[in-house]
Amino acid sequence: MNNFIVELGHIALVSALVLSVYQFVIVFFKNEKNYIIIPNIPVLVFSTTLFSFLTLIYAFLVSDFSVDLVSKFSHSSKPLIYKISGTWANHEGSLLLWILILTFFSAICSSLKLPERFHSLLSSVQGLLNSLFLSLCIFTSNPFYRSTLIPNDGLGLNPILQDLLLAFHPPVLYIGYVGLSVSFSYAIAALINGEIDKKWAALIRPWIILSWVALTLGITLGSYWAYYELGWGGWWFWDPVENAALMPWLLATALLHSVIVLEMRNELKAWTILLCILGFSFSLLGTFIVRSGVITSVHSFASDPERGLVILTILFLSTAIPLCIFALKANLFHKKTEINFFTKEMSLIINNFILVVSSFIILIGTMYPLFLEILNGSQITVGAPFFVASLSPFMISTLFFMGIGPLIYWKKNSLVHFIKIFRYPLLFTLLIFLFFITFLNLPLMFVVSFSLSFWLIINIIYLILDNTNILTFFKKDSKIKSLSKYHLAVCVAHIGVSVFAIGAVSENYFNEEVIESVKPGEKISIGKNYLIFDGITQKMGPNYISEIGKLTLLNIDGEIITQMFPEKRLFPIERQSTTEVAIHRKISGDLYAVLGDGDSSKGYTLRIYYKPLVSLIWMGALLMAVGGVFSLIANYKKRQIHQNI
Amino acid sequence: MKKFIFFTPLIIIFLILSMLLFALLSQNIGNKKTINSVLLNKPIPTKTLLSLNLNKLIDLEMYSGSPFLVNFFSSWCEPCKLEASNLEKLSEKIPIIGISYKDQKEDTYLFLDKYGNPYDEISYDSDGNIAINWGVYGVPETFIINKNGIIILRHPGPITTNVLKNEIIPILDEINL
Amino acid sequence: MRNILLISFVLLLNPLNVFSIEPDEILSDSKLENRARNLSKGIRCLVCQNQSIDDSDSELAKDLRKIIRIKIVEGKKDKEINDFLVEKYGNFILMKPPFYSETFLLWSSPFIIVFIGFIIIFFSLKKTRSEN
Repeated sequence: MNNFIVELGHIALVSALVLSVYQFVIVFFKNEKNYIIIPNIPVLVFSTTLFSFLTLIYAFLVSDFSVDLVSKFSHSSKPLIYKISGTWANHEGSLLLWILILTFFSAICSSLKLPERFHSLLSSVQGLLNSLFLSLCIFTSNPFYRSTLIPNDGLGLNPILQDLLLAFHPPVLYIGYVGLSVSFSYAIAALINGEIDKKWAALIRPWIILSWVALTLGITLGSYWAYYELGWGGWWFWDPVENAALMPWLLATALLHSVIVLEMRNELKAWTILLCILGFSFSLLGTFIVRSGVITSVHSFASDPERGLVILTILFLSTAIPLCIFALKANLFHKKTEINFFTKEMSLIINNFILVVSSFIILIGTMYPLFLEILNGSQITVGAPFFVASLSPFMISTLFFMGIGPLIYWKKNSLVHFIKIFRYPLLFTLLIFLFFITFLNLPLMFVVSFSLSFWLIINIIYLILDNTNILTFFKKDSKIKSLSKYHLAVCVAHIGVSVFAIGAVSENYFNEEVIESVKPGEKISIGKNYLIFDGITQKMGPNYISEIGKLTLLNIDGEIITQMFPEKRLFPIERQSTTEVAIHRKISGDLYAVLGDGDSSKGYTLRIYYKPLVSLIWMGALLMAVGGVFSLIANYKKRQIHQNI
Repeated sequence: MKKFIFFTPLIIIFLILSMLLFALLSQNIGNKKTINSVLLNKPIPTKTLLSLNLNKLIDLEMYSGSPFLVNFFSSWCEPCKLEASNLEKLSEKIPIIGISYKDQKEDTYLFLDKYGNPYDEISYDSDGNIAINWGVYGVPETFIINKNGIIILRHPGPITTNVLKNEIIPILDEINL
Repeated sequence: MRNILLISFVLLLNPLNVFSIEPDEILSDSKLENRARNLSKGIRCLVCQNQSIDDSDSELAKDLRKIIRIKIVEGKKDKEINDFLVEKYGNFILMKPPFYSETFLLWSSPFIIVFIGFIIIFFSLKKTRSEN
């Protein structure tokens, strides 16, 4: 019975491929009849893919070890939720998940109301993407391959991956990546169609915002997971795979802002299209890095040169060809833009520039060891110090321009006006900077970053006060009005950046660490508080054995603040162990405790960190995402109003 | 000029993709996971070693004048067991100095009893410092030293029959053994 | 089977889930210990994937940390210690790529990109003659 269902899933997948090829080619045979109505091909492609995916989940759920994937990555004793999420915790399954989202978005696009010629081109491009990825899956990474020998039980899932947050990390991230493929297809369709204007910008914008929100959340989830799971208190390692997600995010942020300029002022057409193409290319590049083994990384799936070759082909087709079209259609962008200096457009362009330059610096840093080794065999490492050193000036500058942008106007050019708005914020920021440097004697980099985050916050507050008329409240009869949804989105998102920046630099510069070997009853001081180690208890979990340490946190007066239980888990089937860190979270800082090896006679090794303001990192990122969601809502409301008019 | 600007992204991407393709197709990049030795063509970093069984010094200078091998191994290392027979074959042509890496003496003796002792002399590296001096990062690792005391080959990993045939023997033939 | 031998020989591979600095490694002089930690953060763990020896618990990382501390106590300067490690393992062991002929492109890339960007922007924009 199981066999039959899984086979159906395989057949469904192949059907999806056939249908998606049809989706791609039909535009070449199109006549007056609107293909979308009968039958709705993209929806069919999605339905068959969905069915296929569900059968794969089913195979994992019932532990059908005749499916090779299940026997390699699952086990009958795994908790239910991880049996399900284990479906996509491997290369083949995650690729199918990617395809599922891809076909889903293509199905949605097919049911939107769009100009006809553009719509059919769009559907065709998406059909091509669907076909390419389905082919990649079926021919080189087929999740439905059978085991040559059916084992009694599976090999199990890496215990580190048996985590709820991490189960969500791929789907959310893929929504981001696949969302970028949608803006990519909008761009290609527009290039071929020959019309790139405000209307097109309005159509593509929600997709860009959606991808951006998803990427922000996906990256944050991954980073937060690394923080509490890996046990070193780090949250970003400039690992190639992390960089591979960061680059599309930076490009998506740039795209997000560039499309605003396009919608408002009909400028930056070429740039926006280019970003649409590059955004998707970089997300494919990321896919290539994770799955081909060319660049070693902590995150790599099992590497396979053959897969790498197919991915590279897809990368080539979806990058080189669009860029050719882009170059050939340069006549669409012939107008020389007139952009004055102290305008909103200019600050958006500058920040766009900064974001894209940062993206390329990360690309170069990630690829350089490979490049050098190919060139003359030399091996070097480009680690965190390079990225931090080269990117800091750009990240700091971007904070500055973010403060300026929302407060100045489109089109108009006025230095006087500029000074009038920013004289007090500049003054306050400078005062803060001088105060921190001279009286608090803090490191320069920290003070600069902090001052600029402060600058950003001041300007946001000013924006709020100005737009709600609070500032002019006492003059004449100006009434207080509420902040427009759009401004609310901007403020929340930008404050998020500020909060994130403060959290990141605080954690970096004021992180404290204590490592000691303690016997039960002994204490460890950290900061003004201290921890008493109460010993170890053992416990059995569903598929692991754990050693749990008990720590009591006391303040300087001896009052108990809380208890912490750092843990070590041994997973007998996978023969691996994990540490479960104990974290006492407060906004002012996290207390982070890790249990090491030892025994009751010699004592146990405990590592305790105090990380000031580290929660601001996650909170800031969440705020950014919330701002993005507000922006989506604002955008939706605006389109509703336009449609009703 | 203006039109050319529009072609630059294409050119850049094309260069990057070509590089990736090359990396993928070549066997020697990235995935190989071995680190090149920087000690090649330099003189051996250690001249004297402590012997395992007798409390005497092994003077590597004594071996100069003709080539020899240095092999880092341990009893707890699986691939070391695999290369034992090939080392035995090599030891007939060329003297091999073995350095037991982070091991207990008894375990080393047991290992040699079980898998054979191809070594002319055996030393031990209990804290790993000798290994670091030789730029070693795992076991087994083997060095070929020519008659002038210069390292001419470093092979990380076991000397499999393949490696023996394609890497070691040719080098030994070159230096006329 | 591909390369399993090669990979398994590196038995010191870090399982990604346990500890790094042990309490018995820590030097009693906190200034020297800080130097040791900072140096360790800049040295790559050769048998791990993209970690410094400060973060890794593999045997090799431990040994390298010990050597760093020994040399610090011996009175060697930071640069001498880094040079020693580079002499044995090559530039690959440094987390921060040194600046020399082979990495010139890498370190100057931000400047080159910004320069090219300015040129492109300059050719694409046309400034108005008067400001209002």
